Amino acid sequence: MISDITLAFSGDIEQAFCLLRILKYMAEDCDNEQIVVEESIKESYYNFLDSHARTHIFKNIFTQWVCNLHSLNVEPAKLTFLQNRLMDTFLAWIRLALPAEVFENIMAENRPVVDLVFEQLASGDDENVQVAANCLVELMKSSRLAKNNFASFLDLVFAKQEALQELTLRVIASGDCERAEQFTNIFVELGFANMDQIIASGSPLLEVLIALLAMEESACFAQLSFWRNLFRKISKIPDPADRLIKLQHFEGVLVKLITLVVQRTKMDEATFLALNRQSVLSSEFEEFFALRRDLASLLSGICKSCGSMTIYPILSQFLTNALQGESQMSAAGDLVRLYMDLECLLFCCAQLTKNIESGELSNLKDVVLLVQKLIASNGEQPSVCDQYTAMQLQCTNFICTITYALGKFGTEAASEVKQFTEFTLQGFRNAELTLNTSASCFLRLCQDCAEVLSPHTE
Amino acid sequence: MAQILVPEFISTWSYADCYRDIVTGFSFLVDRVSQQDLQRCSTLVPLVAKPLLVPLNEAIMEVHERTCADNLEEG
Repeated sequence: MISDITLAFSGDIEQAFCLLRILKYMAEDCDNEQIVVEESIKESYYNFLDSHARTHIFKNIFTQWVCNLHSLNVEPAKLTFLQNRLMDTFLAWIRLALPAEVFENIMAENRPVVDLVFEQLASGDDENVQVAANCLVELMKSSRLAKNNFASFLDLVFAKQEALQELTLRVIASGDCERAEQFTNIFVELGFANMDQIIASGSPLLEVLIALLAMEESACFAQLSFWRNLFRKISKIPDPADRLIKLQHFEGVLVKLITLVVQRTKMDEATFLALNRQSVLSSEFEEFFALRRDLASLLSGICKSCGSMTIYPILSQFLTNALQGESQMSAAGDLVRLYMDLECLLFCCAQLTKNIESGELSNLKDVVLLVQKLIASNGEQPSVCDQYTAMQLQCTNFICTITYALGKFGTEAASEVKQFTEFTLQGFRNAELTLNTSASCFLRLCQDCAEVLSPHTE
Repeated sequence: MAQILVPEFISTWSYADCYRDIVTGFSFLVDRVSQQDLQRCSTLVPLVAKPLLVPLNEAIMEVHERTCADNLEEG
C-alpha cells in the first residue's frame, strides 16, 4: 500500500503535500478510538507501521524529499510550507513509539531530515521553528529510553549544544516568550541527556535554563522535572565529601534558581485577597497551588542534597529586604505587598523546616519570632492573620512544620507551643476557609507537643 | 478542652478528615494526661468521645429510619 501511494503521489510538490497528509493521518489516527476496528486488525496495522517506518517512510519518503528540496524550483513560501509539512509528518511518525531499531542508524539513513530540523530551528518562520523544536524534543525523549540506538544522534546534538545555547540567548534577548518556551523544552531534554555529565562537572546549559526560567513563567512547569531529578540524583551520592565537591559546580546557579523559585511561589494580589472569601481548594486557584506544590517538592529536593542551611541565607536576605522600611509603611497597599512577600517566604521556610537537621533549628529563630508577631493581636487591633486568611493559612502551615521539627529533636518550646495552639484553635471557627489546615496543625501539635500541652487541658 | 468542644462546634461535625484530625489530636492529649493524672483523664474522655458519638448516633438513626417496616413498605 505504501509503495503504491508513494508512487502515485511523488510526481510534483502538490502530490507531495497529499502524500504527507496521508502519512500524517496514518500515524495520528492509528489510536483514534472513534474509528472502531477489531483488535487483531489494529495489531497487524501497528506491525505494518513498525516494519515500514525505517525504509519506506523515513528513508524513501522523508529523507528523499528533504534531499529534493534544494533542486525544487518553487516559490520560497511554498518551500517553507513543504519543509513544515515534512517535519510535521516526521514528528507524527516519531511519536508513534516505533521500535528503537528504527532509529539505530538515523544519522546515516536520515541525516538530511535531522539537518533540516536543526536548520529550521534558526529560521525566521515561527511555525517551522515550533515544529522543528517539537521534532528535536521528541527524538531526545525517545533517546532517553534507548540511548544506544540514538548514540550517533545524541553525539550530533551535543556537538550542536553551543550553537543551540547561542541561539537560545538570542531568543531570550528578543523577548519572544513563545519561542523561549520551545527552547526550554529542548534544553530540558538536553539536561536529561547530559545529567551525569552535569553532576560531574556542571554545564553552561544550566545557566541557559535559568535565563529561560527568569524570562518565561510557563518555563517553570517544563523545567521542574529536570531540576527535581538533578537534585534527587545529587542527594543520592553516598559520600558527603563527594557530594559537596559536586555541589560546588552549582553554587552560582543554585542561588539564582532558589531566588526564582521563591519569586514563583509568590501569590498575586488578587489571589492573596481572594483567599479571604474562598478556600484554597477552589478551582480558580488550582493551577497556582499545583505549581506551588511542585516548587515545594523542588525546594525539598534542594534541601535534601544541599542541606536546608544552604537555602536559609537566601530566604533570610529576602526576609530582611521585605521587612526593610516596615515601620514607615502605613498605606494599605504597601502592607498587603509586605504580607504577600512574608506569606511566600513562610511557605518556603516551611519546606526548609521539613528537612532541617538537628542543631539547625535555632537558625530559624527570626522566622519563629515573625510568626509570633503575625499571629498576635495588639489590644483591639486584630492580628495580621485575623485580617488575611492567606496569612493565617501560611502561619498555620509553618507552625505545623516547626512543631514537627520541635518534636523530632525533642526541643522544649513551651511558650511558643501554647501561643501556637491558641492560634490554631482559632482556625476551627471558619469551617470553609481555615478548619482543614488548622485541624491538621492541631493534630501535629498534640502529637509532638502533648507533654507541653497536657497541663492546659484542665 | 470544654471551651473548644462546645455543642455548636460539635453539631457541625461529620466524618471528614479535619474532624478526624481533631479527635486524633485530642486522643494524644488524653493519652498523655492519663499517664500523669487519671482523675483529670476521666473528665476528659467524655469530652472527646462525645463528638464521635453525635454523628454516629445520627447515622444509626438514619439507618433505623430507612430500615423500619413502614418506610420499607413505602419503598
